[in-house]
Amino acid sequence: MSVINVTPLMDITELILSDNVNEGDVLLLEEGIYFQSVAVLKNYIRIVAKGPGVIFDGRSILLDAFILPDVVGVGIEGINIRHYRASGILVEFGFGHRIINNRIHNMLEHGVEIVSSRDNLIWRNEISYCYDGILLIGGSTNNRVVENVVSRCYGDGFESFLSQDSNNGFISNKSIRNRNNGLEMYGSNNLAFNNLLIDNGLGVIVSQERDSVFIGNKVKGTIFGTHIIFEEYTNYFAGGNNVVCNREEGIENNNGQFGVFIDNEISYNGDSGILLGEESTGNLVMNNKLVCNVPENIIDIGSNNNIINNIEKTCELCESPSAVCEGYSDEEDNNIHESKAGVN
Amino acid sequence: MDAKMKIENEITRKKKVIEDCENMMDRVPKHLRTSQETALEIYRRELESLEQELAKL
Repeated sequence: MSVINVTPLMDITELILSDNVNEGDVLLLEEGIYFQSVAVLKNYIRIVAKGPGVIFDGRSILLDAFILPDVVGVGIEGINIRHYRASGILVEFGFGHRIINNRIHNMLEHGVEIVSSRDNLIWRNEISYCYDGILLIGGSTNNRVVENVVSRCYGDGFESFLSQDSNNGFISNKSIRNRNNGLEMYGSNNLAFNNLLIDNGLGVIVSQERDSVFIGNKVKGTIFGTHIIFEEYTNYFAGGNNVVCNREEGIENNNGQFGVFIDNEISYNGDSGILLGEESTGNLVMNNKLVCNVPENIIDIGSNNNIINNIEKTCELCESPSAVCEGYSDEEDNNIHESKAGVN
Repeated sequence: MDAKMKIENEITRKKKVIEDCENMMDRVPKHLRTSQETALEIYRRELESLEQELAKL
């Protein structure tokens, strides 16, 4: 296994196809601007930036910067990707890839698109001005999406697309000022843990099938909806989340069944704190703290829902969510590190 | 958004990507066309799969 130095003048796709590159080799990219779409057609190739100035620029002509079709264990690390017509990194029928520490911006499609693939790690990437930041689609399972920052995308920050996109983990990511949803989590048994979803059009949507878990996340400043559960989602769990200063309901469980909502702090939302819709049934709402959600902290118009031991406070005299939220600042939010699109 | 609408939207987007790329191919340097074709094939398969998904609903 060897380390191969690469310059912007070399055709990386051809290089990988040649006998000079074998599984386990590292392609060490010199700084400079690369006008290429790299198709990686061998397993266990590691493509690593030598410094911060490795830039892939599609000049709004090329489709994707990196294409990983039906390969295994490819690493892409430390690369700046900009101005492609489709996605920054496109993966299909693969597994075990490591997509780390890349900065991707101004894609017409997605920052990273994972199609029909499993067991990939997508860690510490910064993505902005794309459609979706990170999209898992076509039966993508067991992927780990960790500590990424997605901002100012015109679709969703993070998304698992349909019911077959299951068993994925979204952990410690930041989704900021995206036009649609901070996190759209379709499918079963997905985990969202410790994510920060701030100032998105809508916070989180959960739909199709069952058993997903939403723990320790913060959802703030959404406009069109905060945390919506629908399509008879079954056995959903939301615990230890902080849902504050959103324009609509804190949690809107339209027709979910047998969900558990426990230990959440839901405050100063411009509509009710928790709404259990007409067709919701068998949900447990317990030990939540709800403060000054207007008009009510909890509304239950469903059937057989259990509401136990919640702490509810109404607004203080002359207090309203909008007034409180206007002055709301918290150190964590003020220190959000958004991608600086166009800087590279 | 219900699944049907979601899939329809994605189909529209994918069709646009494919069509755009086909139209742009003349501007792509010859040595880069193979990788563009590889990407296009993926998007065509994805489109086909979405259309099948839609047909099931």
